Amino acid sequence: MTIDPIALAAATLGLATPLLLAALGELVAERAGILNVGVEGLMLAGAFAGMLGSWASGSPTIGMLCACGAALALAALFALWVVVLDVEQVVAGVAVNLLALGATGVLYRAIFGQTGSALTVATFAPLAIAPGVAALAPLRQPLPVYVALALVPAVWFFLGRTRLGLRLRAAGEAPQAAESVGVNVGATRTGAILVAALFAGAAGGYLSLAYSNTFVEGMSAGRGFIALAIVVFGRWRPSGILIGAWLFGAASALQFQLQAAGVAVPFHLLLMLPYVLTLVVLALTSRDARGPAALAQRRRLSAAAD
Amino acid sequence: MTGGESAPRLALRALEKRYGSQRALAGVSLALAGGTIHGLLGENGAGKSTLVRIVAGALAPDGGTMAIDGESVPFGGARAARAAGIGVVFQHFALVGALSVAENLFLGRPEAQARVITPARLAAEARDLAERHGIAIGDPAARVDTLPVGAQARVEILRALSARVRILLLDEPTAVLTPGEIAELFTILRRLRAEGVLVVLITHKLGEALDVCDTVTVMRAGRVVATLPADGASPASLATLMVGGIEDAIPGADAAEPASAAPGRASALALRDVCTRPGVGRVALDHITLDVAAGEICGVAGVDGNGQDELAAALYGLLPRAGEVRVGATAVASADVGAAQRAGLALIPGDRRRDGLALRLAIWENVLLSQPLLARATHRGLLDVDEARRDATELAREYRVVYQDVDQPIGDLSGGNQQRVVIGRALATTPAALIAVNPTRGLDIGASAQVHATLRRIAATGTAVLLVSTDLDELHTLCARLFVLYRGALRGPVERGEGARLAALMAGIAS
Amino acid sequence: MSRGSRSALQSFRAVAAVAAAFAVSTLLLLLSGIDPLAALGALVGGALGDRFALGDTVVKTCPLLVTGLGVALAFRAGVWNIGAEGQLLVGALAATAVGRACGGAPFPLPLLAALAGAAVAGALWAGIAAALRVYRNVNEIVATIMLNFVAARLLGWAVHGPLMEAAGRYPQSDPIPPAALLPLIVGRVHAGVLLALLLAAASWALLFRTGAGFRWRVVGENARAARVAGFSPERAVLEAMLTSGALAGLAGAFEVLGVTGRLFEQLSGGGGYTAIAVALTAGLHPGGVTLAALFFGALAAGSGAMQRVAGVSAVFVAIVQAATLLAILALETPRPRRAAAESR
Repeated sequence: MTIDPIALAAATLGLATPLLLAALGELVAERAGILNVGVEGLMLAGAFAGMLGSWASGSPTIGMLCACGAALALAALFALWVVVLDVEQVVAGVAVNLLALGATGVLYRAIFGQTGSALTVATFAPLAIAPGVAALAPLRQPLPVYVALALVPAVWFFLGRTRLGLRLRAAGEAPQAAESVGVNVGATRTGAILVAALFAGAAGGYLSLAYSNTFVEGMSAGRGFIALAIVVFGRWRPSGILIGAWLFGAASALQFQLQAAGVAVPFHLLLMLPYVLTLVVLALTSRDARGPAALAQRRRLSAAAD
Repeated sequence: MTGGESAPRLALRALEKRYGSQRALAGVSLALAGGTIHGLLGENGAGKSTLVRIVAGALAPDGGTMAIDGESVPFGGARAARAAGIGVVFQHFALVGALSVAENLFLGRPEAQARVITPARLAAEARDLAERHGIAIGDPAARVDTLPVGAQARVEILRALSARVRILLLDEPTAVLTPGEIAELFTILRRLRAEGVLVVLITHKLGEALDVCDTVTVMRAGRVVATLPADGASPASLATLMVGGIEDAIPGADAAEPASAAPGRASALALRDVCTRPGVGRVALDHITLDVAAGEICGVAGVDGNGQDELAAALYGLLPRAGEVRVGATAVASADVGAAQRAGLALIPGDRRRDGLALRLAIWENVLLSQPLLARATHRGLLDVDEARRDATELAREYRVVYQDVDQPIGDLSGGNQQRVVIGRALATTPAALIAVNPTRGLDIGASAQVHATLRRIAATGTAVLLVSTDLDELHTLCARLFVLYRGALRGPVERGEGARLAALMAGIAS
Repeated sequence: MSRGSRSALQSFRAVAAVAAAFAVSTLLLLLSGIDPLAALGALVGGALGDRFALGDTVVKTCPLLVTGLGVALAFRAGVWNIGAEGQLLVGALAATAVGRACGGAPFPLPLLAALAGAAVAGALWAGIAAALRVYRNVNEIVATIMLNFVAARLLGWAVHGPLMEAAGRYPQSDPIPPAALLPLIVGRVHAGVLLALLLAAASWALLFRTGAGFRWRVVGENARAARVAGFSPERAVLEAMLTSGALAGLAGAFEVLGVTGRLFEQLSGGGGYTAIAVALTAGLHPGGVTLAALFFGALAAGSGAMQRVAGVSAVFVAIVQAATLLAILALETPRPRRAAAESR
């Protein structure tokens, strides 16, 4: 059995990127007190809109903008429900997932018919970094991979070193106290939801415009849910999330490699590996983990219980 | 003091606020001068906190106007109020526990321009601020929820003062402070008065109001009853104004003799070296040894946060403990609520909404919120709903609960009626020993008197009552023997009339 | 408010939500340039048009009802069990394995064994998430979602490996022996439907007429008060999750033993997720779950016809589900605000 470390590293980076993007976005939302179980749906909408945009314009960049825009629109609906109507966040998130699944499915068939033939669109090409050096091959990734990596310190700086980030954290820890010193909790949370949607949309766009060159129904394939797990795993910190995304990406990449190497372990059991690994890690590390105090709490209910 | 001719620092006219059919403020008008300390007195529900929240911009009124130094100020949210020179210290400190002292201070300054912040810079600003106002805050990088309440109060006041403040409102700031911390606070307030600030102190502690205030306003049922100089007022005259002259509703200290243990009676509740571990926001109990006789109401005084909740929780099996607890002859296992209940312990929790009720469930269902009562209503696993409804109706009649239907969610009832259900439920098991934590907190005088009568009655039937309360009047009225909890250790007993010693014990000065 | 008027209000909300969902769906169809009358007509026809359509609706209702009951029980106890999908799949897997292993015994022993195996498997699968929450503080939303993926892969492994048909051509099991199957009552409607209705009644009684159900509900409303009352929240979470998982496991058994007769990968088609919408539309009340499951079952049955006749993708029903859910949330009765005001 042979594992190629260079190929493994390359695949890890690629597989980790959508998870990293979606989880960083979810982190921003959760630090503001919003649990969005609908990341999966936002990603799916992003993947579809990204493909559509690239197909119509021939430009993956425009496709990426469409991906972010679609997720943004869907998230605006989510924000209306959880911020303005103050409903149970988990339930609204489930609705977002259903909506995205239905809408992308219906639109895909409406626009492209029921032809099974693969529709391919223009994608982001890998950057030509150090073309001659074989050992640096893993660095030759499309631009979104680097943008995602750059967002890790950017999110850290935003949350920890800006006035807006401080207000956002206050809204997620103690919304009533924050409100009493003039923080507009509703607006802050809406902003956080929309920023998170941009990230999730980009994650979806990455799937259809960089990781592959097409869209298939349900192509987010649970990555949004894994992003939720990665936020918990990363203990609500950007650095922890980077580690979580890489770990998960590596587990997926390893599983592909083992499969390709013809290891005797059945393919489906290997597919379980990332999920089981996540559960094991959470079981080992969650004991004293502590998320934002007001995460997923309804403001009216917590106000009444005061 | 500003001259008689000039406009008052704060002028409120005809403030109105309704919650549904309830009129929280019914046309309140006030004119208060700068450079004074003004006391705002009233029972719970009189409308004091509503008034403060409106002036602070945390709540929009349904009608009325506000003017500061003669200039009309619209009601426009917390930020606008702050810009107008209004600083507020809320009842439950509006600090974000997970953030540092410096971060909380920065957060409290919406006008702060810096978009990018670093811990070092925030800490420097915090130290600056603390120095300017002469208020000690300790380590600016410390998380607020790790600080003692006195320190949190100082952070809160400093935050209120961080803008140029013309009016400082304090909503019951002394409830969680030791006498020493209160004196320190009053020193700060007097200095602010000397600087020309209008200080409005909301309180229900009459002595305190007369001690520090220049003038006093008494509110009742959403209206201003009287505004008078503190010099001519006495606690008795203010109390009469607060309750509206219903003298028979006020339980005088001499109305009944405190229940005391007959000599030689057996100890019904015995604690031997009860200890708990410290935790985040949790005081460690330190070798508490105490005997409560059958028929006695034994009081435990102390400033909030000195281990009262931990004591009740450790006895009732909600918190692991070391040491021995006996009810009669039965030893009670640690961290086992069921064992405590079987031994004959009952608990009236200090926070009924948090620990005593499921607000969306029906009244009859809340009456079953106790394993022994649920077991009684359950036959072979099946719940006899009709019997449970009948029992709840019976309990509601016995404890004079005002309600429409036992199927109605208990969250619909007033606080007093909710508390009647909680107390009735605790006593429905005819406990050998009862732990009551602040049983009249948030209740009006009439409802409190009824609770006191109930506690006396249950003691008279032979139940040992451990009354844990922050209300000294209540403890003096009901208890012959008083102990003090200070930082998890029990001091005393204190006899009646040893007021100075009691205060010293509460402050941790004497031992 | 009396109990009667509260349940009337809940029914009104559900009806209004469904109406709103259809209004939104019509609008979306119009926007996509599809004749809504033709599409929705095909949908209704496919769900209720004739005996076969009705039978299909009933058959599709069955798993939604049983998983919906499970979700409602867990949510009532304050546990976010998003894992009905995975619990259903392991239930189907266990029913197939047990049914095939002891299919030689006389009826109804293999059937009973298969049902029991499915219930136990579903309960254990949910039990993993419950134990992780109670003993390791792992968020159950994340844990149940992860377990859904693991269950799907486990099923894939089973039908490609140990349970694969002897012919070795397709990733599916051999047929389950007849002695382990649920008898058909009329048309395609199997006996599992009757069991499902019994389970709905039993779930109602469990929640509202037993001490255990009472404890679960108190824990779901206020876990701290439950602890003070002497009801262990941990115990309630474990009990409610095990019951919830057992129900979802049974739903999986009903599918393989009553509908498909064999195990294959895309067995559920996301029904375990729809169950969440079913339970919430019903206000977590077992009676309401029955009606909501019927509604979503009819949608599922009609979607095929809609795709055939009107060319609208069958996943369109996901939009209707989402719209119903959002409408139900929007129509939720406002909480009493008085309480907050009075404590000031």
